Amino acid sequence: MTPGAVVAVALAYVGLLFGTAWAAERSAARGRPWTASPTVYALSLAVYCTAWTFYGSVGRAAEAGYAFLPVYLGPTLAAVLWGVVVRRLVRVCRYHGLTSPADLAAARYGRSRALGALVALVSVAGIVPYVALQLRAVATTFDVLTGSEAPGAADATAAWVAVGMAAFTMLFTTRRLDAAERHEGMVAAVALESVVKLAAFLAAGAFVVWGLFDGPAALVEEAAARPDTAALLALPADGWLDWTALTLLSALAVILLPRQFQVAVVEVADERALDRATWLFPLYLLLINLFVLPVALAGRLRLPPGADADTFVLALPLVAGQDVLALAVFVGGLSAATGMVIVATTALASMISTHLAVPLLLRAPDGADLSGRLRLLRRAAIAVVVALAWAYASSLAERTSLVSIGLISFAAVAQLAPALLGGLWWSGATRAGALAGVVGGAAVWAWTLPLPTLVDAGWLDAAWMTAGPAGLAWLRPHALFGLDGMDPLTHSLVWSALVNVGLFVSVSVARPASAADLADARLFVRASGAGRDPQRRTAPVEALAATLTRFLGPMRAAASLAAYRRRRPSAVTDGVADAALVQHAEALLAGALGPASARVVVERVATRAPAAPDEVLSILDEAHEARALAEAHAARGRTLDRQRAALEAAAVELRDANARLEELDRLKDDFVATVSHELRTPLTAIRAFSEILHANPDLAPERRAEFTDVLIRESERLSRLIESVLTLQRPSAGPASDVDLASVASDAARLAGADGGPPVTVDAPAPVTVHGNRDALEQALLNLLSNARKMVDPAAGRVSLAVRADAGRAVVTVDDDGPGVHPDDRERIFESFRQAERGPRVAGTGLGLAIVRRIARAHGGDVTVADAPLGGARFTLDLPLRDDAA
Amino acid sequence: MAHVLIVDDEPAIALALEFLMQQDGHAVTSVRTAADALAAPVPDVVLLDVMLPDGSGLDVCRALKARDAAPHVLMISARGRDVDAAHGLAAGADGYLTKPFAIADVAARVRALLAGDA
Repeated sequence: MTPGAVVAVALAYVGLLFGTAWAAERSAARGRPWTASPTVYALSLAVYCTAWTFYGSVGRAAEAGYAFLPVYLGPTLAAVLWGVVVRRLVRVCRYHGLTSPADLAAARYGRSRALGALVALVSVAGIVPYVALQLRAVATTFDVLTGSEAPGAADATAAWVAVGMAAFTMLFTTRRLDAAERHEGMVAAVALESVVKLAAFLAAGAFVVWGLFDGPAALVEEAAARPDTAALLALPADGWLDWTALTLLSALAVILLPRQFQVAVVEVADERALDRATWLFPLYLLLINLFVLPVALAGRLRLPPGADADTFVLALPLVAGQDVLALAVFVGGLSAATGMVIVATTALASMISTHLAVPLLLRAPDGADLSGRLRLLRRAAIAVVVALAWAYASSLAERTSLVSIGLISFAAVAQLAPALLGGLWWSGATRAGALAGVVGGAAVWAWTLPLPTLVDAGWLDAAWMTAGPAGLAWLRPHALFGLDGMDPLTHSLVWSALVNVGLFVSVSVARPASAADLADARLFVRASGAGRDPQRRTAPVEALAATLTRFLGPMRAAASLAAYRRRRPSAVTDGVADAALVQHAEALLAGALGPASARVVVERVATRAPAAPDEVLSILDEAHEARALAEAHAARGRTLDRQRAALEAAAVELRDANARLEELDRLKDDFVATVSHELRTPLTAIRAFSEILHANPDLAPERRAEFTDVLIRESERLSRLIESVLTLQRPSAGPASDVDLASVASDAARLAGADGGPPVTVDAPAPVTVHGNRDALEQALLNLLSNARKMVDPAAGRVSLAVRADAGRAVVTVDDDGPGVHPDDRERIFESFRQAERGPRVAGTGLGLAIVRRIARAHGGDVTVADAPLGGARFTLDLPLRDDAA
Repeated sequence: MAHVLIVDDEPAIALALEFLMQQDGHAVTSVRTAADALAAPVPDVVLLDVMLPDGSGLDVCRALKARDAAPHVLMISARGRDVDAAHGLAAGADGYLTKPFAIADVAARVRALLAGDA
């Protein structure tokens, strides 16, 4: 087959994946993500089956018969525990905004940066060979398919594959920054790939069994007749230790490998999906393994001796002249490899950027917007991982089988299991214990598994393996402390598990956690995975908003905060965010920065609060609820249970409603106090000058004129204020009808420009219809325009107004080329009687923008401010279109 | 003749106070911010608004009262609550006026403060 044709097919396939991803993101944006489907979730878990499964299992089976199986038995066993282990992980990670094993380690052990970085390093070191394996598999099979035998061709092919995959991954996953948000497109593409690779493998297997042989019986008969293939059919008599070790290892890997953690824990849209995975995922594994042994036997029987067993799946149809099937197999293998590379590099990139690079970024001066730099960092991390993998593929992996490379990775991530899983069930586990365990285990791993591959590659003296480094026999990598004659993998696992668990437990017990760390730990060990932040921190909401803006960008920061405050209006009192909101902000930041850095940046603005009476109350409530629950369980009738639940739900609602009322009452008091203050100012001037004029009938005429001028001006100001306060209190008073915003815009622009000064350019080409009160909407636009005109140069300033319909919303933007609004002020300016603290102070009632916001919200929309293309501020008024106009 | 410093960021109110004080024969300096108030030469009497664009009049009062030959300070606020008056007196103010005030009242209070010196 010509390389051109194969590349064309591969590119077409990648195009299909993009299309799927795009469609999935559209469905998610409409609020009905495909990825919420339990079947899609189970299929995405099958990213576990990589090129190793697709090509390597057959290679392994052709060497050692059933020995390929434990790697799939482990996950099958793990699937039984999915509802317990993964559910706990999902809840903990969602609650704390964690997106990787490194996040989890850092968060569980007191926001330890060291531990997060360590886990990230171990993961990178462990997974790079695994990614290398995928590159090599795609490159090798490409060369087999196109028949190119040139020496060095595989390296060049691998380089192209690496570049393609890196680009592909970046396009797929780093468009959005917040890793805590799910990548619906990626998951949908991975699920599709799982279907494709399974179908391709089943097709190849069916062809081999029924096309090349007369069914399974004939194949087995022929294999049994030859001693070498007959041996593969025999069940292994010994080696139970190796089987057990491998089964356990893969059970851990299917949860803790970065890509598995990503799809199984981070990307879950709905917890209920976990239940279906319990049977669907093992079923998938069964199907994809069905033809492994038959294909291995067929390869041995039909292909010339010395053929690479890792490419049997591809070589068998190719040799039989079935080019189309061979191409399908190649696409299946490509699916298996790309799925792994995309998810694994995405997961690694997030770990690298949050745990290894972000701490450096945090030294940047305060106030700088770092969201762009964070995105760049993610992309760079992806490039680095793929480049490392390519380097590994071209220098080391030449002679190593696919399976043995993969197992090195499994063994690496297994070193994280005691700290991560132990930490979720054992509150006594400490940071020092976790660090010691992971360091010790990883050291043993590095010594016993990757190091020998360096010897194989000729980088180290072969005597290291036989006599030990510097003649120290007890340090021989495959016979540590004299434990000789074991399978290298099992040998490594035995020692690393012993060292890892031993250190983890003994150090944790020897140096118990401080009370504060223990309180943190309980958050993770608690069954629900969620709990009240024991730190009870509060922070000025503006400082919190500024921090969010700095790392998430202004749009997302403002939207997240606004959404939270709508949900819990009582979260902010007197401009101070309560503990729950601070914790929520930290979780949001953890998605972008990792938990340790998120804690650091939040600590910069937060202060510890004493136990508030309401918190004491809610702790009492919690105790009461727990007792009620226990009683309910003890009680017989289900009816009783339901009634109690309904009562408690009603009580909770009532309490919430009360809290909201109190909050509203307080807001109203504040507002009345502020309004009366604002009214007193012009009133004072009016009274003073009336009295002066009254007491001084013989004032000079020009003095008299000056004073009466003030009287008139201040009276006008008083009426304006009263007018504004009325509008503010009843933002959409008056009849509602269909209103064309385009015509409102041109009216408002004319009114605003009537007094001379900077003109307003209007861009409203088509009618945009909303449902609402025309006068109120015109007032909103007028306020925005007059605000913009105050900000720009009176002679040369520019103000432009645009009206558009966009994705079911009516969007009005008002841009100016004034000084803009500082990010810290972007919420403040919409509050009553507040102006920006930075930038020019201008005359006004201090209510204009507050009125715009009230009107916008009364119409089911909102108004926000950002940087304008003109250089100044852009105010965006966003309203729902009239229902049938969308 | 005494020297009166007027600190208020509302031009209309400052103008009224200036006229009043000049009419009573005082030398008047008028500033709009806390910073300018602290930078001005120390007067005999200060008419001091509580809410200033760059800070609280209470802080200005405290700083002025800490000086040698501290001036008399009359606080002026639009928040007519007793609690504010208490704060103002705690900051060392000699008196407290609530907006809107009667001009006769202001003039009388200033005269009374100056008479105490004589």
